[in-house]
Amino acid sequence: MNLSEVTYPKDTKYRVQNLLVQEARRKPNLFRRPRRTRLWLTTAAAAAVVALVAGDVVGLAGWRGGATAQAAEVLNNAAETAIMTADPVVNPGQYLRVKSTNVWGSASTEADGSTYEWLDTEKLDLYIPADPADEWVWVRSGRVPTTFFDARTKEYVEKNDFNPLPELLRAPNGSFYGSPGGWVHTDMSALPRDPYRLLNSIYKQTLGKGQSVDGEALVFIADLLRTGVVPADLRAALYKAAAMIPGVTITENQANLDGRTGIAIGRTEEGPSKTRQEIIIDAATGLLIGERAILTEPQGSMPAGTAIGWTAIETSVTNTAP
Amino acid sequence: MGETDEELWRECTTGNADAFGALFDRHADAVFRYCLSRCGSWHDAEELVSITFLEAWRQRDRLRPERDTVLPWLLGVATNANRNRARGSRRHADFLARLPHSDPRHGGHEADHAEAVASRLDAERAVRELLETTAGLNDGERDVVVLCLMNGIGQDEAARTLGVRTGTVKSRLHRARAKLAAMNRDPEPVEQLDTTTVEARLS
Repeated sequence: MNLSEVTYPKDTKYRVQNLLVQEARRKPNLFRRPRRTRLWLTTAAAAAVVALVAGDVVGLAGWRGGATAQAAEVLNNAAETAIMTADPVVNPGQYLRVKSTNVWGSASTEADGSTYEWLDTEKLDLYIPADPADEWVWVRSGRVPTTFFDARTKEYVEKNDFNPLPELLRAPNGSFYGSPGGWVHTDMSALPRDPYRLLNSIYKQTLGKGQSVDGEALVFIADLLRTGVVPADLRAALYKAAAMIPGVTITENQANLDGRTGIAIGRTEEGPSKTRQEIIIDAATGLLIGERAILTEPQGSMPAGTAIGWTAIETSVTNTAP
Repeated sequence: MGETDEELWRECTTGNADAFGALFDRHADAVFRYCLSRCGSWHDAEELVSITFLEAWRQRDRLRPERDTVLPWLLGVATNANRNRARGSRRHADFLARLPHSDPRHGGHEADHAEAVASRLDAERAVRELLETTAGLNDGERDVVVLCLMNGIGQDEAARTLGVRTGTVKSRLHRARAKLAAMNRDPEPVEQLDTTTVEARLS
Protein backbone atom coordinates (compact mmCIF):
# COMPACT_ATOMS: atom_id res chain seq x y z
CA MET A 1 0.00 0.00 0.00
CA ASN A 2 1.59 3.20 -1.15
CA LEU A 3 0.45 6.45 0.41
CA SER A 4 1.27 8.39 -2.75
CA GLU A 5 -1.60 6.58 -4.53
CA VAL A 6 -4.18 7.87 -2.05
CA THR A 7 -6.39 10.64 -3.38
CA TYR A 8 -9.07 12.78 -1.80
CA PRO A 9 -12.35 11.02 -2.71
CA LYS A 10 -13.74 12.76 -5.78
CA ASP A 11 -17.31 13.19 -4.56
CA THR A 12 -16.21 14.75 -1.27
CA LYS A 13 -13.68 16.88 -3.07
CA TYR A 14 -16.26 18.46 -5.37
CA ARG A 15 -18.65 19.19 -2.55
CA VAL A 16 -16.02 20.54 -0.17
CA GLN A 17 -14.64 22.72 -2.94
CA ASN A 18 -18.08 24.13 -3.50
CA LEU A 19 -18.69 24.76 0.18
CA LEU A 20 -15.31 26.45 0.55
CA VAL A 21 -15.90 28.73 -2.40
CA GLN A 22 -19.31 29.63 -1.04
CA GLU A 23 -17.81 30.28 2.36
CA ALA A 24 -15.08 32.46 0.87
CA ARG A 25 -17.64 34.33 -1.22
CA ARG A 26 -19.98 34.76 1.72
CA LYS A 27 -17.40 36.22 4.07
CA PRO A 28 -14.65 37.57 1.85
CA ASN A 29 -13.71 40.16 4.41
CA LEU A 30 -14.64 38.72 7.75
CA PHE A 31 -11.06 38.70 8.86
CA ARG A 32 -9.87 41.76 7.05
CA ARG A 33 -6.56 43.05 8.15
CA PRO A 34 -5.15 46.46 7.34
CA ARG A 35 -2.69 46.05 4.54
CA ARG A 36 0.71 47.34 5.38
CA THR A 37 2.07 49.79 2.87
CA ARG A 38 5.67 50.84 2.73
CA LEU A 39 6.33 54.46 1.96
CA TRP A 40 9.71 55.76 0.95
CA LEU A 41 10.37 59.27 2.21
CA THR A 42 12.85 61.28 0.24
CA THR A 43 12.07 64.92 0.83
CA ALA A 44 10.27 67.04 3.37
CA ALA A 45 7.52 67.67 0.82
CA ALA A 46 6.97 63.98 0.32
CA ALA A 47 6.89 63.59 4.07
CA ALA A 48 4.21 66.26 4.32
CA VAL A 49 2.07 64.52 1.70
CA VAL A 50 2.60 61.24 3.47
CA ALA A 51 1.47 62.84 6.73
CA LEU A 52 -1.70 64.07 5.04
CA VAL A 53 -2.40 60.65 3.54
CA ALA A 54 -1.58 58.90 6.80
CA GLY A 55 -3.91 61.26 8.62
CA ASP A 56 -6.60 60.47 6.06
CA VAL A 57 -6.75 64.17 5.11
CA VAL A 58 -5.90 63.27 1.53
CA GLY A 59 -7.26 60.16 -0.13
CA LEU A 60 -9.87 58.71 -2.45
CA ALA A 61 -12.81 60.32 -0.69
CA GLY A 62 -14.59 63.42 -1.93
CA TRP A 63 -13.24 64.25 -5.38
CA ARG A 64 -14.82 61.44 -7.41
CA GLY A 65 -18.46 62.32 -6.72
CA GLY A 66 -20.70 60.74 -4.11
CA ALA A 67 -24.01 59.03 -3.49
CA THR A 68 -27.16 60.23 -5.30
CA ALA A 69 -28.95 63.14 -3.60
CA GLN A 70 -31.83 60.95 -2.42
CA ALA A 71 -29.56 58.29 -0.96
CA ALA A 72 -27.41 60.94 0.70
CA GLU A 73 -30.49 62.48 2.27
CA VAL A 74 -31.61 59.18 3.82
CA LEU A 75 -28.09 58.47 5.05
CA ASN A 76 -27.56 61.95 6.49
CA ASN A 77 -30.96 61.76 8.26
CA ALA A 78 -29.95 58.40 9.70
CA ALA A 79 -26.74 60.02 10.92
CA GLU A 80 -28.72 62.77 12.67
CA THR A 81 -30.95 60.15 14.31
CA ALA A 82 -27.94 58.16 15.45
CA ILE A 83 -26.44 61.24 17.13
CA MET A 84 -29.72 62.30 18.73
CA THR A 85 -30.76 58.85 19.93
CA ALA A 86 -28.24 58.21 22.68
CA ASP A 87 -26.82 54.67 22.94
CA PRO A 88 -28.72 52.55 25.46
CA VAL A 89 -27.06 52.68 28.88
CA VAL A 90 -25.94 49.29 30.13
CA ASN A 91 -25.58 49.39 33.91
CA PRO A 92 -23.36 46.99 35.88
CA GLY A 93 -25.01 43.57 35.93
CA GLN A 94 -26.98 44.29 32.76
CA TYR A 95 -26.35 43.16 29.21
CA LEU A 96 -26.60 44.74 25.80
CA ARG A 97 -28.56 42.19 23.80
CA VAL A 98 -27.99 42.01 20.04
CA LYS A 99 -30.57 39.79 18.42
CA SER A 100 -30.20 39.02 14.76
CA THR A 101 -31.66 36.93 12.01
CA ASN A 102 -29.11 35.93 9.41
CA VAL A 103 -29.56 34.33 6.05
CA TRP A 104 -26.66 32.73 4.23
CA GLY A 105 -26.45 31.19 0.79
CA SER A 106 -25.52 27.51 0.59
CA ALA A 107 -24.63 25.42 -2.40
CA SER A 108 -23.46 21.96 -3.22
CA THR A 109 -22.13 20.29 -6.34
CA GLU A 110 -22.43 16.58 -6.90
CA ALA A 111 -19.78 14.46 -8.56
CA ASP A 112 -21.85 14.40 -11.76
CA GLY A 113 -21.67 18.20 -11.90
CA SER A 114 -25.27 18.91 -10.85
CA THR A 115 -25.52 21.88 -8.52
CA TYR A 116 -27.95 22.81 -5.77
CA GLU A 117 -28.47 26.22 -4.18
CA TRP A 118 -30.57 27.12 -1.19
CA LEU A 119 -30.65 29.54 1.73
CA ASP A 120 -29.96 28.82 5.41
CA THR A 121 -31.29 30.89 8.30
CA GLU A 122 -29.46 31.32 11.57
CA LYS A 123 -30.80 33.14 14.62
CA LEU A 124 -28.12 34.70 16.78
CA ASP A 125 -28.60 36.14 20.24
CA LEU A 126 -25.62 37.89 21.78
CA TYR A 127 -25.43 39.19 25.35
CA ILE A 128 -22.64 41.67 25.98
CA PRO A 129 -21.93 42.41 29.67
CA ALA A 130 -21.58 46.00 30.94
CA ASP A 131 -17.90 45.30 31.49
CA PRO A 132 -16.68 43.69 28.25
CA ALA A 133 -14.02 41.79 30.23
CA ASP A 134 -16.83 39.78 31.86
CA GLU A 135 -18.45 36.75 30.30
CA TRP A 136 -20.35 37.19 27.04
CA VAL A 137 -23.08 34.74 26.10
CA TRP A 138 -23.89 33.78 22.54
CA VAL A 139 -26.84 31.62 21.55
CA ARG A 140 -26.67 30.27 18.02
CA SER A 141 -29.47 28.31 16.39
CA GLY A 142 -27.15 26.81 13.82
CA ARG A 143 -27.86 27.06 10.10
CA VAL A 144 -31.31 25.77 9.23
CA PRO A 145 -32.02 25.25 5.52
CA THR A 146 -35.09 27.44 4.97
CA THR A 147 -35.50 28.60 1.38
CA PHE A 148 -35.47 26.45 -1.74
CA PHE A 149 -35.94 27.49 -5.31
CA ASP A 150 -36.97 24.12 -6.71
CA ALA A 151 -38.32 20.79 -5.46
CA ARG A 152 -35.26 18.75 -6.37
CA THR A 153 -33.04 20.90 -4.14
CA LYS A 154 -35.43 20.53 -1.23
CA GLU A 155 -35.36 16.79 -1.69
CA TYR A 156 -31.57 16.80 -1.96
CA VAL A 157 -31.11 18.82 1.23
CA GLU A 158 -33.54 16.62 3.15
CA LYS A 159 -31.81 13.49 1.93
CA ASN A 160 -28.35 14.74 2.86
CA ASP A 161 -29.15 15.80 6.41
CA PHE A 162 -27.83 19.34 6.52
CA ASN A 163 -28.71 19.48 10.20
CA PRO A 164 -28.25 22.65 12.24
CA LEU A 165 -25.76 22.63 15.08
CA PRO A 166 -27.22 24.75 17.92
CA GLU A 167 -24.63 26.20 20.28
CA LEU A 168 -24.54 28.08 23.57
CA LEU A 169 -21.19 29.81 23.91
CA ARG A 170 -19.62 31.72 26.79
CA ALA A 171 -16.42 33.73 26.66
CA PRO A 172 -14.95 36.79 28.37
CA ASN A 173 -14.17 39.68 26.00
CA GLY A 174 -16.32 38.06 23.32
CA SER A 175 -13.39 35.78 22.44
CA PHE A 176 -15.60 32.97 21.22
CA TYR A 177 -13.91 29.86 19.82
CA GLY A 178 -10.67 31.10 21.35
CA SER A 179 -10.46 33.96 18.86
CA PRO A 180 -8.08 36.55 20.28
CA GLY A 181 -9.57 39.34 18.18
CA GLY A 182 -12.84 39.48 20.12
CA TRP A 183 -16.20 40.25 18.56
CA VAL A 184 -15.34 43.06 16.18
CA HIS A 185 -12.32 42.56 13.96
CA THR A 186 -11.82 46.28 13.46
CA ASP A 187 -10.39 48.60 16.09
CA MET A 188 -13.35 50.97 16.28
CA SER A 189 -11.61 53.42 18.60
CA ALA A 190 -8.95 54.01 15.93
CA LEU A 191 -11.47 54.99 13.22
CA PRO A 192 -11.88 58.76 12.63
CA ARG A 193 -15.27 60.27 13.48
CA ASP A 194 -14.94 62.89 10.76
CA PRO A 195 -16.84 61.29 7.82
CA TYR A 196 -14.35 62.43 5.17
CA ARG A 197 -11.34 61.11 7.09
CA LEU A 198 -13.27 57.98 8.01
CA LEU A 199 -13.98 57.22 4.36
CA ASN A 200 -10.34 57.78 3.41
CA SER A 201 -9.33 55.47 6.22
CA ILE A 202 -11.80 52.81 4.98
CA TYR A 203 -10.51 53.09 1.41
CA LYS A 204 -6.99 52.61 2.68
CA GLN A 205 -8.02 49.38 4.43
CA THR A 206 -10.11 47.95 1.60
CA LEU A 207 -8.21 49.08 -1.49
CA GLY A 208 -7.51 46.14 -3.77
CA LYS A 209 -10.12 43.94 -2.12
CA GLY A 210 -13.62 43.00 -3.20
CA GLN A 211 -15.18 43.66 -6.56
CA SER A 212 -14.63 47.41 -6.74
CA VAL A 213 -13.02 50.19 -4.72
CA ASP A 214 -16.33 51.86 -3.84
CA GLY A 215 -18.32 48.64 -3.53
CA GLU A 216 -15.85 47.28 -1.03
CA ALA A 217 -15.99 50.46 1.04
CA LEU A 218 -19.77 50.01 1.34
CA VAL A 219 -19.25 46.34 2.27
CA PHE A 220 -16.85 47.44 5.02
CA ILE A 221 -19.48 49.82 6.38
CA ALA A 222 -22.25 47.19 6.24
CA ASP A 223 -20.00 44.57 7.89
CA LEU A 224 -19.27 46.91 10.77
CA LEU A 225 -22.87 48.06 11.20
CA ARG A 226 -24.21 44.51 11.33
CA THR A 227 -22.13 43.71 14.43
CA GLY A 228 -24.73 45.76 16.35
CA VAL A 229 -22.11 47.22 18.66
CA VAL A 230 -20.96 50.33 16.79
CA PRO A 231 -21.19 53.39 19.09
CA ALA A 232 -23.55 56.19 18.02
CA ASP A 233 -20.85 58.70 17.01
CA LEU A 234 -19.15 56.15 14.75
CA ARG A 235 -22.49 54.95 13.39
CA ALA A 236 -23.34 58.52 12.37
CA ALA A 237 -19.94 58.93 10.73
CA LEU A 238 -20.37 55.64 8.85
CA TYR A 239 -23.72 56.79 7.41
CA LYS A 240 -22.21 60.09 6.34
CA ALA A 241 -19.21 58.29 4.85
CA ALA A 242 -21.57 56.01 2.87
CA ALA A 243 -23.25 59.16 1.53
CA MET A 244 -19.89 60.15 0.03
CA ILE A 245 -19.29 56.91 -1.89
CA PRO A 246 -19.77 57.30 -5.66
CA GLY A 247 -22.48 55.07 -7.13
CA VAL A 248 -24.39 54.65 -3.88
CA THR A 249 -28.09 55.02 -4.54
CA ILE A 250 -31.55 54.06 -3.28
CA THR A 251 -32.16 50.60 -4.67
CA GLU A 252 -35.58 49.90 -3.13
CA ASN A 253 -38.02 52.18 -1.34
CA GLN A 254 -40.01 49.44 0.38
CA ALA A 255 -37.45 46.82 1.24
CA ASN A 256 -38.64 44.08 3.55
CA LEU A 257 -36.14 42.54 5.92
CA ASP A 258 -37.34 40.04 8.50
CA GLY A 259 -40.82 41.60 8.51
CA ARG A 260 -39.64 45.19 8.84
CA THR A 261 -39.77 47.65 5.99
CA GLY A 262 -37.12 50.23 5.17
CA ILE A 263 -35.23 52.02 2.46
CA ALA A 264 -32.49 49.97 0.82
CA ILE A 265 -29.33 51.81 -0.10
CA GLY A 266 -26.83 50.02 -2.24
CA ARG A 267 -24.39 50.11 -5.07
CA THR A 268 -24.84 48.25 -8.33
CA GLU A 269 -21.71 46.32 -9.12
CA GLU A 270 -20.28 45.09 -12.36
CA GLY A 271 -17.67 42.91 -10.69
CA PRO A 272 -17.44 39.13 -10.92
CA SER A 273 -19.56 38.31 -7.89
CA LYS A 274 -22.82 39.60 -9.42
CA THR A 275 -24.07 40.83 -6.09
CA ARG A 276 -25.09 44.20 -4.68
CA GLN A 277 -24.45 45.18 -1.08
CA GLU A 278 -27.20 47.18 0.60
CA ILE A 279 -27.91 48.67 3.98
CA ILE A 280 -31.53 49.05 5.05
CA ILE A 281 -32.71 51.99 7.10
CA ASP A 282 -36.09 52.60 8.70
CA ALA A 283 -37.21 55.80 6.94
CA ALA A 284 -39.45 56.88 9.82
CA THR A 285 -36.93 56.54 12.63
CA GLY A 286 -33.61 56.61 10.79
CA LEU A 287 -32.61 53.43 12.61
CA LEU A 288 -30.69 50.63 10.93
CA ILE A 289 -32.77 47.54 10.18
CA GLY A 290 -29.99 45.48 8.69
CA GLU A 291 -28.00 44.74 5.56
CA ARG A 292 -28.32 42.36 2.66
CA ALA A 293 -26.58 41.16 -0.49
CA ILE A 294 -28.74 40.90 -3.61
CA LEU A 295 -28.01 38.74 -6.61
CA THR A 296 -27.94 40.92 -9.73
CA GLU A 297 -27.92 37.97 -12.13
CA PRO A 298 -29.48 34.51 -11.85
CA GLN A 299 -27.21 31.92 -10.25
CA GLY A 300 -28.25 28.31 -10.76
CA SER A 301 -31.82 27.97 -9.53
CA MET A 302 -31.74 31.34 -7.75
CA PRO A 303 -33.32 34.18 -9.76
CA ALA A 304 -31.83 37.68 -10.00
CA GLY A 305 -33.01 39.79 -7.10
CA THR A 306 -32.64 36.99 -4.53
CA ALA A 307 -31.19 38.19 -1.23
CA ILE A 308 -28.45 35.57 -0.89
CA GLY A 309 -27.28 36.92 2.45
CA TRP A 310 -28.83 39.23 4.93
CA THR A 311 -28.76 40.24 8.58
CA ALA A 312 -31.50 42.01 10.50
CA ILE A 313 -30.46 43.25 13.92
CA GLU A 314 -32.23 44.54 16.98
CA THR A 315 -30.51 45.78 20.12
CA SER A 316 -31.91 46.15 23.63
CA VAL A 317 -30.76 46.14 27.26
CA THR A 318 -31.61 43.16 29.51
CA ASN A 319 -31.04 42.27 33.15
CA THR A 320 -30.32 38.61 32.58
CA ALA A 321 -28.55 36.36 30.12
CA PRO A 322 -29.08 32.63 29.55
CA MET B 1 -6.22 26.78 -15.45
CA GLY B 2 -2.82 27.90 -16.71
CA GLU B 3 -2.39 30.30 -13.81
CA THR B 4 0.45 29.75 -11.38
CA ASP B 5 -0.11 29.33 -7.67
CA GLU B 6 1.32 32.76 -7.14
CA GLU B 7 -1.16 34.38 -9.53
CA LEU B 8 -4.07 32.50 -8.00
CA TRP B 9 -2.93 33.42 -4.52
CA ARG B 10 -2.77 37.08 -5.42
CA GLU B 11 -6.38 36.76 -6.63
CA CYS B 12 -7.28 35.18 -3.28
CA THR B 13 -5.87 38.11 -1.35
CA THR B 14 -8.23 40.40 -3.27
CA GLY B 15 -11.14 38.22 -2.14
CA ASN B 16 -11.55 36.11 -5.30
CA ALA B 17 -13.30 32.97 -4.07
CA ASP B 18 -13.03 31.18 -7.42
CA ALA B 19 -9.24 31.47 -7.41
CA PHE B 20 -9.35 29.90 -3.97
CA GLY B 21 -11.46 27.07 -5.40
CA ALA B 22 -8.88 26.52 -8.15
CA LEU B 23 -6.08 26.29 -5.58
CA PHE B 24 -8.14 23.82 -3.57
CA ASP B 25 -8.64 21.70 -6.68
CA ARG B 26 -4.91 21.74 -7.33
CA HIS B 27 -3.68 20.83 -3.85
CA ALA B 28 -6.53 18.97 -2.15
CA ASP B 29 -5.03 15.53 -2.87
CA ALA B 30 -1.59 16.36 -1.53
CA VAL B 31 -3.06 18.07 1.53
CA PHE B 32 -5.38 15.11 2.09
CA ARG B 33 -2.48 12.64 1.94
CA TYR B 34 -0.58 14.72 4.43
CA CYS B 35 -3.58 15.02 6.77
CA LEU B 36 -4.16 11.27 6.54
CA SER B 37 -0.54 10.60 7.40
CA ARG B 38 -0.86 12.99 10.35
CA CYS B 39 -3.99 11.66 11.98
CA GLY B 40 -4.32 8.12 10.63
CA SER B 41 -8.09 8.37 10.25
CA TRP B 42 -9.80 8.80 6.92
CA HIS B 43 -12.77 10.62 8.44
CA ASP B 44 -10.61 13.00 10.50
CA ALA B 45 -8.37 13.65 7.52
CA GLU B 46 -11.34 14.72 5.40
CA GLU B 47 -12.32 17.19 8.11
CA LEU B 48 -8.77 18.38 8.57
CA VAL B 49 -8.52 19.21 4.86
CA SER B 50 -11.53 21.53 5.20
CA ILE B 51 -10.19 23.16 8.34
CA THR B 52 -6.83 23.66 6.63
CA PHE B 53 -8.36 25.46 3.67
CA LEU B 54 -10.71 27.51 5.85
CA GLU B 55 -7.72 28.61 7.92
CA ALA B 56 -5.71 29.27 4.77
CA TRP B 57 -8.46 31.58 3.51
CA ARG B 58 -8.62 33.27 6.88
CA GLN B 59 -4.86 33.82 6.92
CA ARG B 60 -4.54 34.68 3.26
CA ASP B 61 -3.10 38.14 3.88
CA ARG B 62 -0.18 36.61 5.75
CA LEU B 63 1.27 34.65 2.88
CA ARG B 64 3.51 35.98 0.20
CA PRO B 65 4.47 33.02 -1.97
CA GLU B 66 8.22 33.25 -2.48
CA ARG B 67 8.36 30.63 -5.11
CA ASP B 68 5.68 29.26 -7.23
CA THR B 69 3.93 26.80 -4.98
CA VAL B 70 1.75 27.40 -1.95
CA LEU B 71 1.75 23.71 -0.99
CA PRO B 72 4.46 23.95 1.70
CA TRP B 73 2.55 26.78 3.30
CA LEU B 74 -0.72 24.83 3.12
CA LEU B 75 0.98 21.86 4.76
CA GLY B 76 2.22 24.20 7.48
CA VAL B 77 -1.36 25.38 8.05
CA ALA B 78 -2.44 21.72 8.15
CA THR B 79 0.30 20.96 10.69
CA ASN B 80 -1.00 23.65 13.03
CA ALA B 81 -4.63 22.76 12.36
CA ASN B 82 -3.88 19.17 13.32
CA ARG B 83 -2.26 20.30 16.59
CA ASN B 84 -5.30 22.45 17.42
CA ARG B 85 -7.78 19.98 16.03
CA ALA B 86 -10.28 20.12 18.91
CA ARG B 87 -10.30 23.90 18.98
CA GLY B 88 -10.25 24.24 15.22
CA SER B 89 -13.25 21.94 14.78
CA ARG B 90 -15.22 24.01 17.25
CA ARG B 91 -14.30 27.21 15.52
CA HIS B 92 -15.44 25.82 12.20
CA ALA B 93 -18.33 23.83 13.62
CA ASP B 94 -20.98 25.44 11.47
CA PHE B 95 -18.94 24.73 8.37
CA LEU B 96 -18.13 21.17 9.33
CA ALA B 97 -21.80 20.51 10.10
CA ARG B 98 -22.51 21.02 6.40
CA LEU B 99 -19.56 18.95 5.32
CA PRO B 100 -20.40 15.84 3.34
CA HIS B 101 -18.23 12.90 4.29
CA SER B 102 -17.48 10.50 1.54
CA ASP B 103 -19.21 7.28 2.35
CA PRO B 104 -18.31 4.30 0.19
CA ARG B 105 -21.69 2.74 1.08
CA HIS B 106 -23.61 5.30 -0.99
CA GLY B 107 -24.03 5.05 -4.74
CA GLY B 108 -22.20 2.88 -7.27
CA HIS B 109 -21.96 -0.91 -7.47
CA GLU B 110 -21.63 -3.37 -4.63
CA ALA B 111 -18.27 -4.65 -5.77
CA ASP B 112 -16.92 -1.08 -6.00
CA HIS B 113 -18.02 -0.44 -2.43
CA ALA B 114 -16.25 -3.43 -1.05
CA GLU B 115 -13.15 -2.35 -2.91
CA ALA B 116 -13.39 1.27 -1.76
CA VAL B 117 -13.89 0.24 1.87
CA ALA B 118 -11.00 -2.19 1.66
CA SER B 119 -8.57 0.29 0.13
CA ARG B 120 -9.60 2.89 2.67
CA LEU B 121 -8.93 0.53 5.56
CA ASP B 122 -5.65 -0.44 3.90
CA ALA B 123 -4.60 3.17 3.76
CA GLU B 124 -5.54 3.81 7.38
CA ARG B 125 -3.73 0.68 8.54
CA ALA B 126 -0.63 1.53 6.54
CA VAL B 127 -0.54 5.04 7.96
CA ARG B 128 -1.04 3.85 11.53
CA GLU B 129 1.75 1.31 11.15
CA LEU B 130 4.03 4.00 9.82
CA LEU B 131 3.08 6.32 12.65
CA GLU B 132 3.79 3.58 15.18
CA THR B 133 7.31 3.27 13.84
CA THR B 134 7.84 6.93 14.75
CA ALA B 135 6.90 6.42 18.41
CA GLY B 136 10.49 6.78 19.59
CA LEU B 137 11.03 10.09 17.78
CA ASN B 138 10.52 13.57 19.15
CA ASP B 139 7.94 15.88 17.57
CA GLY B 140 10.44 17.66 15.33
CA GLU B 141 11.85 14.41 14.01
CA ARG B 142 8.39 12.98 13.44
CA ASP B 143 7.45 16.13 11.46
CA VAL B 144 10.25 15.58 8.94
CA VAL B 145 9.64 11.83 8.72
CA VAL B 146 5.96 12.40 7.91
CA LEU B 147 6.72 15.18 5.43
CA CYS B 148 9.80 13.89 3.65
CA LEU B 149 9.58 10.11 3.94
CA MET B 150 5.84 9.48 4.06
CA ASN B 151 4.70 12.31 1.76
CA GLY B 152 7.70 12.71 -0.50
CA ILE B 153 8.04 16.42 0.20
CA GLY B 154 11.47 17.85 -0.61
CA GLN B 155 13.72 19.08 2.19
CA ASP B 156 13.50 22.75 1.17
CA GLU B 157 9.71 22.55 1.04
CA ALA B 158 9.60 20.75 4.39
CA ALA B 159 11.73 23.53 5.87
CA ARG B 160 9.24 26.12 4.63
CA THR B 161 6.32 24.07 5.92
CA LEU B 162 7.84 23.87 9.38
CA GLY B 163 9.34 27.35 9.41
CA VAL B 164 12.86 26.08 10.04
CA ARG B 165 16.10 26.11 8.02
CA THR B 166 16.84 23.37 5.50
CA GLY B 167 19.86 22.42 7.60
CA THR B 168 17.55 21.73 10.52
CA VAL B 169 15.41 19.44 8.37
CA LYS B 170 18.54 17.60 7.21
CA SER B 171 19.84 17.08 10.72
CA ARG B 172 16.43 16.03 12.06
CA LEU B 173 16.10 13.52 9.24
CA HIS B 174 19.57 12.24 9.96
CA ARG B 175 18.80 11.77 13.66
CA ALA B 176 15.42 10.23 12.91
CA ARG B 177 16.96 7.75 10.48
CA ALA B 178 19.61 6.78 13.03
CA LYS B 179 16.95 6.19 15.68
CA LEU B 180 14.71 4.25 13.30
CA ALA B 181 17.65 2.15 12.13
CA ALA B 182 18.52 1.41 15.76
CA MET B 183 14.94 0.20 16.14
CA ASN B 184 15.31 -1.50 12.76
CA ARG B 185 12.27 0.31 11.41
CA ASP B 186 13.50 2.66 8.70
CA PRO B 187 10.33 3.40 6.73
CA GLU B 188 10.70 3.05 3.00
CA PRO B 189 10.53 6.51 1.46
CA VAL B 190 7.38 6.88 -0.61
CA GLU B 191 9.39 8.09 -3.54
CA GLN B 192 12.85 9.51 -3.71
CA LEU B 193 11.94 13.01 -4.76
CA ASP B 194 13.93 16.14 -5.05
CA THR B 195 12.36 19.57 -5.13
CA THR B 196 12.05 19.77 -8.88
CA THR B 197 10.05 16.55 -9.14
CA VAL B 198 7.79 17.67 -6.30
CA GLU B 199 7.09 20.86 -8.18
CA ALA B 200 6.66 19.04 -11.46
CA ARG B 201 4.11 16.81 -9.81
CA LEU B 202 2.18 19.81 -8.60
CA SER B 203 1.85 21.54 -11.91
